[in-house]
Amino acid sequence: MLSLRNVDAGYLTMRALFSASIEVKQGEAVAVIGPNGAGKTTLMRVISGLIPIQGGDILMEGRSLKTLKPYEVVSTGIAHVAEHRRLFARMSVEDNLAMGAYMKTARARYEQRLAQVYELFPRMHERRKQLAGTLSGGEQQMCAIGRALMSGPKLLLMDEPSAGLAPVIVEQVFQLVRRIREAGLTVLIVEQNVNQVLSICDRAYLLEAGTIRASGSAQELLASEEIRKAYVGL
Amino acid sequence: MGIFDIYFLEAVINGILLAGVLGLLALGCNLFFGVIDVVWICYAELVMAGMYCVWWLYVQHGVPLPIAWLLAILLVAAMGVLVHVGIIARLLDTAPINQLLATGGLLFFLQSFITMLFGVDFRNLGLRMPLLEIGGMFISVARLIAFSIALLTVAALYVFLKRTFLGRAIRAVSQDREIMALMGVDIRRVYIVTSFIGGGLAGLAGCVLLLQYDVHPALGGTFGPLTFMICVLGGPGNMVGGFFAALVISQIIAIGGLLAHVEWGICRGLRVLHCDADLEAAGHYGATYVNNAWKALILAGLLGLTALKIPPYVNHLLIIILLWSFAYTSWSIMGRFGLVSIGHGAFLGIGAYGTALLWNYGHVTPWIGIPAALVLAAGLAALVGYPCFRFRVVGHYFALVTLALGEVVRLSIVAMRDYTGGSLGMTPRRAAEGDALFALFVDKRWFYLIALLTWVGGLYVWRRIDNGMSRYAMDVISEDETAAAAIGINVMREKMKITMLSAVMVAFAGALFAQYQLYINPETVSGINISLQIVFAAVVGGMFTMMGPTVGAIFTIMLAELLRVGIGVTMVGLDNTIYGALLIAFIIFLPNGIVGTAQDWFKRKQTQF
Repeated sequence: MLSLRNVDAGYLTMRALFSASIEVKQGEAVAVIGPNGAGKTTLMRVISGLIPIQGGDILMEGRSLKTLKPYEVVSTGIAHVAEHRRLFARMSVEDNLAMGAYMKTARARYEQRLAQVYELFPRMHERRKQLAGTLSGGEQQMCAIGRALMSGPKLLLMDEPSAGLAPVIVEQVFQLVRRIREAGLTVLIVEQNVNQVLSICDRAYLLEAGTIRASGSAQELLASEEIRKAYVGL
Repeated sequence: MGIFDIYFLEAVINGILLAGVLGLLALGCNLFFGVIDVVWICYAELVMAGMYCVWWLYVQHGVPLPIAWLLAILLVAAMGVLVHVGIIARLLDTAPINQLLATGGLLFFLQSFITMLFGVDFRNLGLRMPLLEIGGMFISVARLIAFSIALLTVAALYVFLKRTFLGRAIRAVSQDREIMALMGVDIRRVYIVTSFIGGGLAGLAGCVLLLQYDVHPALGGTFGPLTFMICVLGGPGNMVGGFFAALVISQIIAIGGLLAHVEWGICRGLRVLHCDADLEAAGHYGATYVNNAWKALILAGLLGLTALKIPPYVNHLLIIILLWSFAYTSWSIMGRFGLVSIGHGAFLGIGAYGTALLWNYGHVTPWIGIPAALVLAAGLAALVGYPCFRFRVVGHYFALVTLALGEVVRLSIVAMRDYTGGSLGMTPRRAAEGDALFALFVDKRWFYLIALLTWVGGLYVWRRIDNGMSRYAMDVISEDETAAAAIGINVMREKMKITMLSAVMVAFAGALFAQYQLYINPETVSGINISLQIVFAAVVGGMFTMMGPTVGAIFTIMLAELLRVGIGVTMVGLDNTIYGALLIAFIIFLPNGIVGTAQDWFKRKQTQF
């Protein structure tokens, strides 16, 4: 579905991603793990077109995303749940969800998708009139995921969904991801919480200092001595 | 019902209707300022453009009024889009103050361009709108119409922003621009649509305003500050709140106007706003490129000029440049730390009028009068600064509070017309024979020396602050107040210190101006144009470097003089039109100012080799 081919990307003065190649197949859940500053968020941002691609190419179902603006990338079926959730804090939960369905194609099925999201997250229905900024951390993450689902994506990008949440809530968030998978969505997830993310994903890539160091099935990576020592802390 | 009661009730009703006009005026402004968080300081000038358009079509060309209205609304809406694409879009990723300044340049531009096209005469539709008589009271039909239109528009805009996808996107875009793109929203389009609607609202306000007011090029100066204050008082972005704010203000104006001068009415209104606005918003050492020997040489040269016989015009220019350089430097002392004041005309006015009034009416020599005026300026700075800092009024909000302060001082000067001569200005009384020193009336040659010393003093203060601990403290505060407080900085004290210092210095410049020009006028010392000019010059020169404001003074004054001498006579308004356009270009292309950009360029050159 999504394939990155030798992608280079970075910022004005420094490059953060070196020739990264990643493949995500239909229906898969793929994790990208790695330490702070490895280039994980850069990877997400370059896929969404938030930063320009400097080399290589990104294909979504065979179509190159290279020249697309961020708002055009969304229309290819990619939704991006940004790091730190980034809700519109001064708008209600329902307004936030509505923004997720801003695209012309999504607007036509707004009511239907809203009902689906409320079914998936009954809590959001309870709080639909509440300002998003007043939700708890876990609820905010639900709202952010719900907002991304409103565009009716084929592929969901998730940037550190567990960041800044209490361990109990993190557990819940990963349960959510599992349910989203069961609903048939393809997921690419970036995480530092290696143990838990590997338990819900099929395959994973290890990103270090902007380079893909290892890849394989989640079990293989979990079993790897190196990764266990460095990231799982066992 | 006694006769006074009827007048009182009439004032109240007219006040409510006036609220319609003001509410409508504030509506578009609110959309920009409150909803998408872009400041268009030239908003009232757009309204004025709409008024002129209606007048031109209807009076000059006999176009039927409804069509003239429609065309004016479309014209101003198109202007709104142009302002966004041409100016705001280029500045979205820079400091917010740049938007304020570039649209401030546009304010100059529109004012003078309209003067060029239509002259300074007062124009009106020549319609006599009937008055309704109800129970002995007279109610203006024009205001009734304005009120109904305003109500309808508020309702429509409210529904649009709350219910439609586009309306919600307009509200969301100011909160997080990047994330909007991830929602599949083309932000550029959202901004353009908003600018179109906001411009259209300005045009509509212009149409309604022309029913009861004459239009003239300085109209924006009166309505602009009022409009911004209504937005702040009502809660930025809160359309309904804005309407209530307009109601409160117009009541104060209407009833205040009944009891006293109109200016006092507006003045009281602004003061209330003021309090409310307060509640509402609840490295390295300065690089020296000229070494000490050079500095001494230049100073000696400047001093040496006194000994030479220089032509009076040149002498005059030098004095003006030095005095303004001092004033701009004083402004940048606080401006560089993010405390952007667009009301420093208030302190200029207090310095000028304080000294002159004490001399004319109290026979107090300026030797005492000037210090007294400075104390007054410090007091006022403290009075305004304390609540601002206490309630963390920062950024745009702080700028708008200072804008109101400038208006309060200007209107107070006008209202005290028995002493100050009102808008006609005043002249300090001539000193008796032999009393020149007592009255501080000195020969222009000597005045040059005073100006020079003042300027050097200003630079010295700038330097002292730049090298002191205060500078680090203020830098930290401008980055993050909470963090600053957490590492033990007394945020309130540091801010108050720097604000009062800046106010006192600017007041001193004002006092010297009065002594030098021997004529002062509320517009030229405290008007919004002067306050903006101070900010401009400092930014154009570069407010982060010691010589920046001075370079800004030289540049802006020379430019204004060149334009004035070169073309001022042949076509009234053309000089300021070019001036305004150049200011806009400056903010867009040289956001760090002349000196700042030059320094960056040198630095880059050095690192290249």
